[in-house]
Amino acid sequence: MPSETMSLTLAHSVEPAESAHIARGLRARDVALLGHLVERYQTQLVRYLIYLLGRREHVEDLVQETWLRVLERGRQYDGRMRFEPWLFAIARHLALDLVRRRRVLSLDGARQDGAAEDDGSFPACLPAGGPSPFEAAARSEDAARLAASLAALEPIYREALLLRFQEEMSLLEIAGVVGAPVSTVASRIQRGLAALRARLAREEDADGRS
Amino acid sequence: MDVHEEARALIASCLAADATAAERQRLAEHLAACPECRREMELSRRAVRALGEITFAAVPELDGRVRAALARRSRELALESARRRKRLLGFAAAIAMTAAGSLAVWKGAGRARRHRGDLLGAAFVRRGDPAAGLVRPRLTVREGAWVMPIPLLVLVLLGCVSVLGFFLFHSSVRRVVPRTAKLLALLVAAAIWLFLALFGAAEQQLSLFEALPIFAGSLFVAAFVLALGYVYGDARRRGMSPPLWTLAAFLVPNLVGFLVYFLLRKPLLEPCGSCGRGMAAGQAFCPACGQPAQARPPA
Repeated sequence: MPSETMSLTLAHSVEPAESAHIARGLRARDVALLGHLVERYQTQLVRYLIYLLGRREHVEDLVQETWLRVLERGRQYDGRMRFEPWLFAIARHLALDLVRRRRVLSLDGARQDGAAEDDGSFPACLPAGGPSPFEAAARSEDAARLAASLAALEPIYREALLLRFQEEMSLLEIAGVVGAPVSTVASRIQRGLAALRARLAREEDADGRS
Repeated sequence: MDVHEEARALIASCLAADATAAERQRLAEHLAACPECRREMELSRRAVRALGEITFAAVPELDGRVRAALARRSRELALESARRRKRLLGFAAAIAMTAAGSLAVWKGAGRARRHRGDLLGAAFVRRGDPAAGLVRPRLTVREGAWVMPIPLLVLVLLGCVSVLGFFLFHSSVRRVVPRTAKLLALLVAAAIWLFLALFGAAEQQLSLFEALPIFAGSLFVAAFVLALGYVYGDARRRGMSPPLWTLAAFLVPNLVGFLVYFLLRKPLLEPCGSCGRGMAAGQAFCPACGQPAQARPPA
């Protein structure tokens, strides 16, 4: 598996020196450094928020809000962990706030909010009209097949799959982002993967029969 | 956990970046024997690859928007921390001034008791025989009274003159001090000079070095009145209550009232775009004419 060994080295090439550099810059509220970070992490942050919310609306506002929060709370980042999980944890908090506010406003599902407190879960957004952002972003046949089931999947599974296989975070890092135990994260990844697998298997069977 | 379940867990971890060699080895051994799990592995790999083929187009204008917002907020944060530093410094200064003032009063009161009415080194005593009905006040230097040393006297004189000059001639400050305050300062100073002329020089009871501290005192009082006038005018143009703040500056001892005023004063009002009267920076509509605030250029 050459591609996997390559990504393995990639995920671990982030040196602690870089995290320390970022931590120093954030402590000094270095706007130029923040500008570089914005440039570097923008696509990942946008993608993560779309996976969390299952829609494109509000994503840009949340991205801006996240970076402002990074500027304000930058002193809390100590550089011991990688920057990306820290960034995503902030984005997740803000997204969760937004979804809860909207659910309370729409009086829909507000009763579930009590349960959705500290177990790292994430309430699903009300479905937006039109095609899901995943269908619009699919670049291959398999991707188009997955997009539909991805949109139907609960946010916590989508999130776990993205963080594990796209952002290539370790289970421990993901646990830090979502605020759930490592075992929970592992089981979410397995169940999410099983759901996608089932979808592809169904397609294959349908192709086989026709 | 049965072997297939374990294999499924291994599939998930082996598709991720950080699987160990041992995990890969164990999975490979199981897959070689189990066609069902082999298919699961194949489908999982396709699913993960397909996930990578869902890519979202970058939002080109977002970077610029975020950067502009960051620059704006960082300026605000810098201002805020400067304000917090100023408050802290002012708090320390207020404590120091209170302590120094209290010490001076305590020491000075002791000395005044000893010398019965010292006035800047000159003692104000009554002369003549009260029984004769003729009581004429005069100024004299009692033995043992503290006489202001000449360097300190020069310093006080220079300080008072420069503070006076600042309030009277500084291009932007002099416009804030109301004319009434300037007139009042002149009157107070003139009254002291008159007192000096009548009871000091005229009766030749005071030497120059005894009269000078009183002269310096007159300048100090005039500067104090002008400073109160400044607080009055400045509070007015910032939308704060002028009489209240002037009174606070006047009554709180050791100049702490001034200090508190300068720490707590609000930003300047800005002229409304349609009627020209002052409105606070955060207001969306002019309180005087009700027109919406014009978009102001960033500070």
